[in-house]
Amino acid sequence: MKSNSAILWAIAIVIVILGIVYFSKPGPEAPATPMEGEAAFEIPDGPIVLGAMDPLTGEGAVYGIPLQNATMLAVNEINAAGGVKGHQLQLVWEDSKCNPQDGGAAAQKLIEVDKVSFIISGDCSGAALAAATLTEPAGVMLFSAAASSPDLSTAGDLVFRSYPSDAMAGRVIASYVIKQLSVKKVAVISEQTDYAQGLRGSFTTASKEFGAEVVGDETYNTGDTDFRTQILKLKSVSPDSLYVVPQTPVTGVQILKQLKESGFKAVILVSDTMLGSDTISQNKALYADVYSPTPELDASRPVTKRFLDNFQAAYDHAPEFPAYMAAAYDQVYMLKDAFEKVGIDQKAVRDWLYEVENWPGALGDTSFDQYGDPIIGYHIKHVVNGEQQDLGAYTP
Amino acid sequence: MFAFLIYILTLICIYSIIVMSLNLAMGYTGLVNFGHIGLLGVGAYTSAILTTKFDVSFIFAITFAAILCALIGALLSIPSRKIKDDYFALLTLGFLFVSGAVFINWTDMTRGTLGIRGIVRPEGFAEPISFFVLTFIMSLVTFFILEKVTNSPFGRVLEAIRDDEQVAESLGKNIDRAKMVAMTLSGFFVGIAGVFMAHFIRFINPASFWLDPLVISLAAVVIGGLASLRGSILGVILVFTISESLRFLSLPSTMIGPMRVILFMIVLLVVILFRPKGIIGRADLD
Repeated sequence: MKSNSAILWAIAIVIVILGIVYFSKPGPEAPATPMEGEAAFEIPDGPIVLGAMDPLTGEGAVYGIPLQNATMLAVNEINAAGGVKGHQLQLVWEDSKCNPQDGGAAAQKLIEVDKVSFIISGDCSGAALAAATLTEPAGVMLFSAAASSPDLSTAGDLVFRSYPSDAMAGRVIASYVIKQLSVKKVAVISEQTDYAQGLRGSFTTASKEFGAEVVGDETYNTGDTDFRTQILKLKSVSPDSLYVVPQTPVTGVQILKQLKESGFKAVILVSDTMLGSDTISQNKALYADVYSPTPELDASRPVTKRFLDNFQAAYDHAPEFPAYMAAAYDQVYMLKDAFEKVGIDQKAVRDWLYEVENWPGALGDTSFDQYGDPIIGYHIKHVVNGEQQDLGAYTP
Repeated sequence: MFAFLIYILTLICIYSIIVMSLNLAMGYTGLVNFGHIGLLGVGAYTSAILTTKFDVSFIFAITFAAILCALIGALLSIPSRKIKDDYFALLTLGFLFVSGAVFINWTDMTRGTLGIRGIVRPEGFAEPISFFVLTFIMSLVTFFILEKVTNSPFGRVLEAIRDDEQVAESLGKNIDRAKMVAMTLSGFFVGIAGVFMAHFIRFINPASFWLDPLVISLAAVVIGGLASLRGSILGVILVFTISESLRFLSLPSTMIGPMRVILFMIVLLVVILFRPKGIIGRADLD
């Protein structure tokens, strides 16, 4: 009987919590979707409610919170300037925790409870892919700024992203090193994360396509600090060029250090996570002669300058991950432009996005391919003794 | 709102299976098994690979996955003959790390960190509501089978092992076999839960079977109470109700993530403070 009263207590607690939640929550805002088939130019009264999901806690928060800040910056700017045709933008935030289960729950809540038609997300690929299985059948647009897995390209018709797929970066650098630097044998060392594996995949595929031989392909687990076994193996096959793909710069620097110690001689390529200006200035000796592809983030462009300056003014520090955060910032402005041109119907916005050409964003001039992936010009950066040189735009 | 509720209820049913089977090993038998989530992953990956790569039926996949996990559970019980208590917990934690490393590195099969997508729900159960009914029935079946096992004389042997192994042995009970049976059953059911998880979310990657689900499961066992199946279900319901209802609190956007975690932990602490054995728990772990 003691356990029975405990069950009753627990049920009572649950009911009370549910009750508080039910009564404390204001009724759902006027749904942001107009009736289907209606002329899309009518925007219903009241704010335009958008869903937003980022990893706000856990490991992914390292990226999630800066991306949230960049998104909020754009929203605040737009609202301060009078909103979208007089309608304020309002975001409902959810924490996706960077894993599929919570990504799914977050998306489901945004779709069903908040009745949003658009979800913008600065999410890990895993959470975004799980969310896409729910948003696509529900007719909700998922617009991601950070998920770079090539799988997302085919995740659905209403799935877009403002940061290029890994498939692009790997291809660009493979093409550059093979065609411009006449390299015949390439090798790659990559971390076991979805981002790094995506790059490794596109780099090796593109290298073979451009006629080079992939002589070495080593991986390591997140958290490893000793790479001498892999380096020894790579050295034995003597590649002309080695592509280093870590998830975070700390590990990447470690690899560069051990490559140098082992006397490894090859053209070193790195992924754009290694291009942080702090990282380079602290490790000038290691960045003796290194190439990397990176989306153009050209501070001389007015949009880019506005993003960088306003971010500095709002948060009192420079953006932590400039390229990703510029993508998150662009996302909001892109939706604003779409809403102003075609209204807030998802399909109309989708068509507008497919048609847009060289949309001037902070990350660069953006167009979308048939998968909803942005076509953004890549620049090749050449770092010589810690000094970054921009070799200009490069298309494979 | 309805579809969101169904989503959460389906998760609750899946986690009920996970937590009940964990309780069989941990609450009834006294084997603290951190590797439980590793087994969950083995079940999920087995079914995902079988159905996406080899095109087998859901029934075959779930049977194969459950038997495989039962076998691994049986293997995991073998060291428990020599390694006790905290050391056994550490050993099973090792299993979690090993299974995680396999999911990440066996890229030909698991696609590594890119994860497996395109997992489909079984035929006739593609709709969220029908899949929920299927999951609900499965969790009821699990409950009744485990209820039968734990209320049988064999269940009392398990509890005797938890309370004092030597006494149980001196009474002529085969404790090694009993532990093995408990771990096998535990593995069998968590394997089934893994299959349901994979086909419910329809995308799995190594992060799906790492520390997050472990924390949720352990919290549910402790809140609900050790050695009580009803407690396990109650624990899962409470954990999900609390954490999901926090989504509805209006908080400033910069505080949403951390505040939810803090509030969740405060509620957990309060439960533990007032009910140290869990809500309807009957046992303590040393």
